[in-house]
Amino acid sequence: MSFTAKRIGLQLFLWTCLTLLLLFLAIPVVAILTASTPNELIRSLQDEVAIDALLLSLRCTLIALLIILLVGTPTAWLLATRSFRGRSALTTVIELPLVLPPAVAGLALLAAFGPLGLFGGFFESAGIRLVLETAGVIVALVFVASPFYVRQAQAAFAAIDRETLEASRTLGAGEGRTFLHVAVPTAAGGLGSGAALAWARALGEFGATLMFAGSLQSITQTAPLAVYDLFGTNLVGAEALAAVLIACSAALLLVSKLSLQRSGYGDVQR
Amino acid sequence: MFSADLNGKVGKFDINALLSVDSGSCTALIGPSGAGKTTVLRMIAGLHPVDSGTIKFGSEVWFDSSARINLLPEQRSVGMVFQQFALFPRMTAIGNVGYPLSHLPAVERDQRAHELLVMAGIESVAKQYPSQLSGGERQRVAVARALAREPSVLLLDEPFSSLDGDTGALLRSLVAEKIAANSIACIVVTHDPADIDGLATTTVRLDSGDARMLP
Repeated sequence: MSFTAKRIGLQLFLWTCLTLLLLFLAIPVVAILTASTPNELIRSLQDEVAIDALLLSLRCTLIALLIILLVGTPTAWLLATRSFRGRSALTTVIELPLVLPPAVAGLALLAAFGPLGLFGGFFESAGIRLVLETAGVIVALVFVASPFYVRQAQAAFAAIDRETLEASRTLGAGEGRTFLHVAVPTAAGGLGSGAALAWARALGEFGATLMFAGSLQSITQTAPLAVYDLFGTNLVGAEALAAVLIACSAALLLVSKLSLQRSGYGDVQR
Repeated sequence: MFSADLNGKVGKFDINALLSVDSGSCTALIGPSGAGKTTVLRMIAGLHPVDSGTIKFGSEVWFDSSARINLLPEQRSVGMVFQQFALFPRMTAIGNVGYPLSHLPAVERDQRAHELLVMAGIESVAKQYPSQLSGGERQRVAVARALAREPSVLLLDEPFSSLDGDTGALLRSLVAEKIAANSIACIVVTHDPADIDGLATTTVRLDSGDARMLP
């Protein structure tokens, strides 16, 4: 076979692989979006179960994201700027929920914070209930989504030129001011990307929430749980909610990618 | 008077440097690449560990290994111009220069930063970000920023290397004026004979970590 024929053959193979994978991934998404007419979808979204689920999802994911940002940003800074014994082990523990099966995550949360769990007594004596409560949903969301943010934030902080941070210190700024005024703005693209990914993960969370917080309408039934609930009784309603979740996830993924693209210093605008 | 007795390590070799610089004057630190010149500046600024010795400015002790004194970088009155400028990418030129003046009210801070930009001849790029500046403009912002804090000790690492002859000479003379007017002790790492002639009054040569005063 000639060199040109080999080259064309390889190109054909690569593009075929891409096309097959693209079709495999895109067809189910398109199928959901086209399963019902727009009117049916809009009517279904006016259903009480759907509205409750969407509002609860929005509320819980925003609170979870806020907690992740407030605790995850300093954590990522510490991991990115300090060398200490056991740092790799610590990072592995923080990243573990990334690879845990969601049902296992739910079970682990029950074992830790459930009524009969490790800290169940402590929470009970403090009058805090998590299982079958909205607070439990937020705990589950923080558990599964925080590694997505911390991982990205750690990489963003580690990518800052060390001398930039040192310059801040020689100009009279302590570590706190350097973190807030130099590190966070410089890493903003990476932080934004991580936040969007974490939000998307929280929005799609199903297994851990179901195991730990249950699926009670307007209390713990988030949009993915409502999709599952509606699946048996109202397929069009389930498809409508699924379409909203697809749109939100796609938008967040796009935001994440754009944030990363804009994290280069060259595109800072006046 | 600034004085430093520095003993530490960088990479494979030891650094042993004894420096003293009068206030209002400048010492050039010269030597081959990799001799440890930048590390000496970083030790003085508190950015690189010193194993033993002392760093003092007048009666202020910044580092004394025997007395276990080791001030943080922000506690030492230094202004440092890094070789790669180390400007803050998300701040404009005037934001960079105003950064060390955070203790001043905003209007006064901007006015002072603007004066320094005028001094460096780059007031026209005040609102531009580092990515929008040329190498020479970035270097001038870095020099203006280091002077903004009115430091006791000015540490310059190849400070005029990106500037053309005339601009370099102009900024060199402005820095020399500031050093004299504010009684700053300055140490400049350089390969440029113009810095030694135009700025420095004494020269110290660093070879494989050992400093030696040149006549």
